[in-house]
Amino acid sequence: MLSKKKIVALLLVLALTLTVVATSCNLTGGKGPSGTLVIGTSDFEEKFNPFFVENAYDMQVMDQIFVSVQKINADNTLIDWGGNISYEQVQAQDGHTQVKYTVKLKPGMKFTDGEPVTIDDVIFYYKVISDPGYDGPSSTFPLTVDIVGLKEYYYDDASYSEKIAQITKDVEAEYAADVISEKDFIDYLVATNLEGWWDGDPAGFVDTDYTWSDYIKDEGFGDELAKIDAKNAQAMLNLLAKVEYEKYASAYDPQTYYQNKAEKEYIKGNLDNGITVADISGITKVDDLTCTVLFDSVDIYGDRNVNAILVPEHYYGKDFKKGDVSSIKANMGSPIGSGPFKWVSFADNIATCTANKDYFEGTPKLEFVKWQYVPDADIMTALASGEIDIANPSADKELIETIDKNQNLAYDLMDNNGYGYLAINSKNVTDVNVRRGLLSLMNRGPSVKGYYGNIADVIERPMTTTLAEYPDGATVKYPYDPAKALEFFKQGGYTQKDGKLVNASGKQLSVNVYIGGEGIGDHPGYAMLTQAAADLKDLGGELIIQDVQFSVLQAAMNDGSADMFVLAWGESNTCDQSTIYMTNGGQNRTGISNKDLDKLLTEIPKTIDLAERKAKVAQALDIVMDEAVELPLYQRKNMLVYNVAAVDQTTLPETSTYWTYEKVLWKVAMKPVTDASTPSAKDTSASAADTSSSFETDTSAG
Amino acid sequence: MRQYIFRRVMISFIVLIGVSILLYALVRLMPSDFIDMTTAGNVKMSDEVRESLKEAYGLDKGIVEGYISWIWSALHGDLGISFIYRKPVTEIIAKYAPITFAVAFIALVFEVLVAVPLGIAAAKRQYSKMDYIIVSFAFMGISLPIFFFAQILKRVFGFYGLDILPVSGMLTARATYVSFTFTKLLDYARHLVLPISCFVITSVGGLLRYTRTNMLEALNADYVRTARAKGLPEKKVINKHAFRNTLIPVVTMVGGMLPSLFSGAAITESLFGLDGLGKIALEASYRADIPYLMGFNMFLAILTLAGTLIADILYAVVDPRVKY
Repeated sequence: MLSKKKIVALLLVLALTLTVVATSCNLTGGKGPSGTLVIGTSDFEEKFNPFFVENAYDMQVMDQIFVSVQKINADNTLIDWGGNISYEQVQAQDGHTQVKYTVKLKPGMKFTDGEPVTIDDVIFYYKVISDPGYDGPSSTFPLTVDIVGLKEYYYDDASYSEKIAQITKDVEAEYAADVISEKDFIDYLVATNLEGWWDGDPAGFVDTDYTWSDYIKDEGFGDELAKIDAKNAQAMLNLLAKVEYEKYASAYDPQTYYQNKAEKEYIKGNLDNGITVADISGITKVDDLTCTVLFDSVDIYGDRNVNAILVPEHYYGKDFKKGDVSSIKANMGSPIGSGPFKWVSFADNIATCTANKDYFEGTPKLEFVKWQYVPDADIMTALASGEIDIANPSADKELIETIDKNQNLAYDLMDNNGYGYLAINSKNVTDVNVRRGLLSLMNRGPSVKGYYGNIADVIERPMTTTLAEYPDGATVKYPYDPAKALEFFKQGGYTQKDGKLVNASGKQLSVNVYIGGEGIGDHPGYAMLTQAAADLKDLGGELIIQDVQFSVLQAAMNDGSADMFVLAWGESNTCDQSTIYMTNGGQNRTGISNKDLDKLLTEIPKTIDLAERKAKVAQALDIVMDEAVELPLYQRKNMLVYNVAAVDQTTLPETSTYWTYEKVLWKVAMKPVTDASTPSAKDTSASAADTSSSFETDTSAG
Repeated sequence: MRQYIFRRVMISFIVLIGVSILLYALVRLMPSDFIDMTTAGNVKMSDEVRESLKEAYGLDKGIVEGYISWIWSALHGDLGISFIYRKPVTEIIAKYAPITFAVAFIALVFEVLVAVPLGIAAAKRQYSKMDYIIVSFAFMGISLPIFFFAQILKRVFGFYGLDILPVSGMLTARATYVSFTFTKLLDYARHLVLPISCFVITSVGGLLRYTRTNMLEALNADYVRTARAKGLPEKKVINKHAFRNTLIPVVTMVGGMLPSLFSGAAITESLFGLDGLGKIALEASYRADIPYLMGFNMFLAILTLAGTLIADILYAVVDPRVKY
């Protein structure tokens, strides 16, 4: 007779053996190619909603579920997809030129719930992103796009322009810099925390070893400081607001604050009184598949702005009411579209989609597509082991060497649609010659190449080279030359005295620069800055490098404490740089203000002819370079790595910045399965059958 | 007893308010805010839109005002909407807590299973080779930074090493499971071996040394000497007399360990790509998602207070001498 203990031990051994056997089955099963393509991605935000998707990885999934009217082609132009967009110029009653876009959908498209796609879905899309209650990533739409009747819809008032003009007038009369009362000014400063400058900590620091109390005393308010409780945040803020009001009122903008506030109240009041403008007057439904969109002025990106995503109104719009998008926002997890793939689920950090057999371009070759979150550090392991098939790791020299050694992996490099730059805040470094001198100390080539190798190039104008408007033959404006830099500094009023570079009042040239090198100089511009710091020291000046985290850099840039900073622009698909370089541009971080430049920047988006536009862009960028507020650093490349042992390489398209496998994912297939060890174990339903079925040849892919 | 618990709960509540003030101030003091960070790369952004976004997210308010409105909603059970996920924080915590809890709980069970017997074994033969080996390993575990140790585990057991375990993720993406089956469970298990080992090895040291110390104390106690003098077999002396008394402080310690497992999850979950509260918390702190950070940290604070309270109550249960 076996004792109890022995029976237990036997059972345990049995369980262990079973576990090992079952595990090893799964091990081989998980690795074989099949009808499931696995794409490695980074952090999802799980906002799987066409109106609110923001993050690039959520977007990867949504791009396969939704179709838009047109899509961007390999050369960054729009081509037909779910429909077509055409335009004609028309004369308005007062004689000025308007542009009428016609959006025409392809017939026969269906959403995956079986309902047909109609033009109402397109109009619904425009309405949601123009809604005053909408706060998703396209919320700039109603205020930046010049569609007839759009602002009336947004403000819910047919005579909004008079009302806004009135508000503007009232605000100006009451809150303009020269008339605003002390109380209103201080209320504004307190409400905005001194435009974000005040950090809320009474014992905190304005600058290194320089507290708020020090600042208040130095500004001559020491007596008042003694009267308040310096530990009380609110009291400190109130006093600081007073200091700022009395000493630096010109640096603040209470008018915009009160304008925004008044407009918000105005819209709210309009909506509370019942909806008066229910439709956008410039958007007209022609038939079930066609609508027209009337622009009040020429906009070279008008077609991109009207390029709607086909979103089912019957699904997302069920409970939508103007001014309240909460019912749409509530649905972040089960998108329905008309794209090549159909949503299945998001679980365990894996987003799953399955083929939409009714997709209007043809049935996809893959039965399942899955996007799996893989930590950056493990991407290459996951690719090499066959856990994932495609990924886009950030490219560097070593990575390319690793991939070259592995015959199962292949890669594509394509230019990133963005660029890196060094910027100078012209409000801090006011003299243009001093700025030119600083830029002449920057030895970009070795720094960029040393970091990126051959996957980045130094560029000469602040614009991504992936745009057709990038100036041809642009040459170096400020070559690395310390002697020339000294000349510039001298022109800027600096002289060398006792080994120090000083201005007329005897102050040494000292400039700080913020760079996001994670504290260890991990940045393509870092070597350049250390060299510049050494050179400037030799000349008698001082360059203080602040190697910080991104958020710290951001704060220093926004509050103006950074004299220079190294950053990059991404996703710049248009040549319209007005927000960056216009005097009052929303992203003007350098304080650049040049009338000729403002004029050019206003004209560029209205110049339809490419050659003419290109000439204007070249001119504008020359002015930016001349003002010496920005030094373009690098144009880097992105990388796509494929596991070609699993993916059928012949089904992958030729890749460029704007055209990757994702644009034709429905044509991508896995290699036919020859190995018996497919993941077709009893309880896995991923079958390889679909991958080998019906390979159509289609040559339309770019 | 009832009065004691009532008093403790009231004190905990006051502590929680204090903690929330501290947390809110810290979170708001982070440089830059969510809107500045998310709109940084957007060329199309205008000041006007940015300001109105800040207003929509409640970032235009000062710290004091912001805190008051936060605590007011929190007291009404509304922790706000996460900036990043645009979902109610309570919903996110409810959705991901089970994953984090499951991982943490399994790790905790393993920790106890490893720490208690080894701690006792080390104590039984104090200053022997066995004792030194166990204690040295415990120290190594405590001293190893988790991110470093995780990389070693990945290198040894992952594709570039023995190739027997997946290095990240929770499930083999390629396999499609139609329902929850044994194979799926095994797939989960395989993916969790490394993260849980990481947890257990790096944190088992504390509990192990605690067990050892308490066991040593018990072994030197008079009642153990009496038991031995009575001629009881050594097994009985250890298991019945010494061990039971060692258990009392160990139980209280384990109670207090649970919240720390949740907070420790932030790094481990990110390293291994697990879809839990910790990974979200790390992302939220990078991007200044104030509502989520507040919600998550308050959740930890409540767990910590509840953990100590439960431990104190358990103390009375396991130790009949304790009365409140």
